[in-house]
Amino acid sequence: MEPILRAEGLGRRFPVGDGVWALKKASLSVPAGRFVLVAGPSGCGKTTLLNLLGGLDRPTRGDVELRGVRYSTLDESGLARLRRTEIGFVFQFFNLLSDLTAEENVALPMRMTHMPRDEVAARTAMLLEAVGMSHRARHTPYELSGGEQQRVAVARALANDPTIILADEPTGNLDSKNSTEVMDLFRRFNRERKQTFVVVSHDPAFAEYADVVVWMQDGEITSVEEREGRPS
Amino acid sequence: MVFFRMAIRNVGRNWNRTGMIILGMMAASALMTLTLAFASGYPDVVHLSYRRMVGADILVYPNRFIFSGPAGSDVWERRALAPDHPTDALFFHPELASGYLSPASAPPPLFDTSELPAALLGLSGVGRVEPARLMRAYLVVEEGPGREPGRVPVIVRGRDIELDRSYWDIPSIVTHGRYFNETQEQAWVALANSRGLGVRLRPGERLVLEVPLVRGFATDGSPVLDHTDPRTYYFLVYGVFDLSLGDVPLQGLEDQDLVGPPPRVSVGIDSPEVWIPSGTFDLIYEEVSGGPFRYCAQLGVLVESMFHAKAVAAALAEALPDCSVLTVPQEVGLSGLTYVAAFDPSTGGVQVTRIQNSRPVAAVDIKAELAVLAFVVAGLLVVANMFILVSQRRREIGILKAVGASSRDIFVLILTESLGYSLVGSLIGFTAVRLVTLLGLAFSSVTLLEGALLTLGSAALVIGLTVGTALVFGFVPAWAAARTPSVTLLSSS
Ligand SMILES: Nc1ncnc2c1ncn2[C@@H]1O[C@H](COP(=O)(O)OP(=O)(O)OP(=O)(O)O)[C@@H](O)[C@H]1O
Ligand SMILES: [Mg+2]
Repeated sequence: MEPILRAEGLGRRFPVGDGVWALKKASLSVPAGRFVLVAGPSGCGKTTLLNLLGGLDRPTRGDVELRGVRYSTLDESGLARLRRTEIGFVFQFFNLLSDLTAEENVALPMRMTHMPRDEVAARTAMLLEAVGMSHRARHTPYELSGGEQQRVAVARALANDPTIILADEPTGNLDSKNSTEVMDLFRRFNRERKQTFVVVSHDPAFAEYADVVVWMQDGEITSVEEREGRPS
Repeated sequence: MVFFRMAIRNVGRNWNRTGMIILGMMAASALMTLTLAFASGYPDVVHLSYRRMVGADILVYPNRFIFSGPAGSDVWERRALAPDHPTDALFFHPELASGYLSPASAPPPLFDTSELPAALLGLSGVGRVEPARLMRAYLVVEEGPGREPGRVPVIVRGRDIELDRSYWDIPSIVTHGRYFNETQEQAWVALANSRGLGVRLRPGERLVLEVPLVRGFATDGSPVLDHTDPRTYYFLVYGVFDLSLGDVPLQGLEDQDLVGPPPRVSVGIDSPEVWIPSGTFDLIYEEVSGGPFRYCAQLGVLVESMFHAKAVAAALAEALPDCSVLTVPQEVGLSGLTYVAAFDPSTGGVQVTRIQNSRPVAAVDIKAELAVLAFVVAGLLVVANMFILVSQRRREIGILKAVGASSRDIFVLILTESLGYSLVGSLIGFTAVRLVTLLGLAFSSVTLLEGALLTLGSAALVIGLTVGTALVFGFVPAWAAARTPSVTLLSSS
């Protein structure tokens, strides 16, 4: 299948000391509908890779291509538009806007597009329903548990029906029960809606579920493990 | 648009965060308002004293002030008023006769009020020009108990009641009887200085003035008086004023075996003046001269604030080189003036010294430089606030960028918030301070309109400056934050 996301010779060097290559040279193809797990020891460059894939950071070398659009051809606002419409992020620390309620957080990416108000409202309600957070729509992040916040964050990531969802340790800050719940959400969206995921996680539960496991070490991708016959 | 609306809502949301910033903006604009208030001599708690008694051909003064001499301490003596002196200023402030405050040494030029110098009227910052209405006359002392009949030379002063009500601290001047009011223009009422006339008049009594006819005007505009055929006018003594410095302890009596506290001497200002409503003055003047009041020796020039006063005075001095122009020193004080009367055994006279010994309670001697400094401080406060606003929210900005906000969106967001905070803050700060000064205004006699106009003017200045500074200096941190990549912003928490 034609890959939806492709990284070629991706490298990122941070200008500290003599320069640190957080990511040396990574190439990766993600076909649509796949669930990709990125794994590896701490400090091997997983977050760096994910940030580059999501256009939150610019690579030192190499390029990323999402649905045929090369990031290197986009200016700052072009990249912002890409993040807004094509990419959904889920962070370890949830990163909800603390001044906004759950539904306002979910609605935010939609409001940045030209979606009509009633459509935003309907879609927000649908997404909150899908992540099981309808009853907490009017609550601010402070009034929600970690698991609840992360479910809202997942709903927000899905808001503009992105091509791909990138998640960096989405369960890293959750207890096992909440981890399972969030993971089940990912699984459901992947299976039922063919949503493409790239997830960085230490959680073995994800490993069990992923189609592809990308192993990294020292800023490089050491192996890509396809799991054709995974249970469904 | 989303970000604009979001910014507007952010201003109102989360008060414990925005509160500090708004408070900062408030403080800044309050500081500016206060500075303005003092710079224009605005706070009316501050009483003013001798405004028009200062001698100069042209007097430039702000809306309010308290006058003091060139030095912190000055000395003057009781002295008879030279009968031909058109103003009483030198009498009260003899030090004006020398030094930087000295009036022209030549006979004072008379201004033709019907055609005031264009240079004067055309100056920007000049509000009203008020001629001092002064006329020579005789007070006819009628036979009475303990009173010898006779004639006393006096100066009749036509008082602009509206002006007096706003500029004079009338209650402390009039000690017996009443002060006339607006409705008494052209009424035959008079106020007399209880000390200067050599005869004690009482409210309710009849006061008779003999006014010599004006036979023409000399080339300099001075009236040619005909003393042989005066007109007689009858007034009701409405009040007797007493310009007094109060009771002052008498010093220099140590060698005279005193028992008890040192004696005090009441120090008054004994100018032989009779004040009448200016409408009445005009009536009389027209009768004795056959024309409207025209030539006067002293002009008052009203300017909007002390900032203007300095500039206007400088421009006037240049435009009218023959005139002495006096800018009343800008000194605002609540108290702190002490008078000392010293007995001089050799002459048997008493010398009164004014000492500015204690710091005035709300002593403010705002020079333009100081005002500018206050504005700079206020500006810095706003700038600091803007940096706090942005640095507090790096993470939030990072999130916004991660979900698709562009640099421009962030920029709009922060600038709009800056606008909101500074607008709300400056509005509150301005109103708070202004209310206090307006409260003071209520106890004064500045007209409501005048107060309102001044308020609008300084509101525009203060709010405009606060908001302007916030926007200009919000620009830099807003731009910086907008340019920072999302990852960097997100990693700072
Ligand atoms: N902004 C930065 N400046 C300098 N060095 C950085 C920066 N970000 C990451 N690094 C370095 O790059 C390397 C890879 O970091 P990265 O965060 O990608 O690792 P990771 O695999 O996500 O680790 P973990 O599993 O602990 O999250 C690390 O050595 C890290 O110290
Ligand atoms: Mg990481």
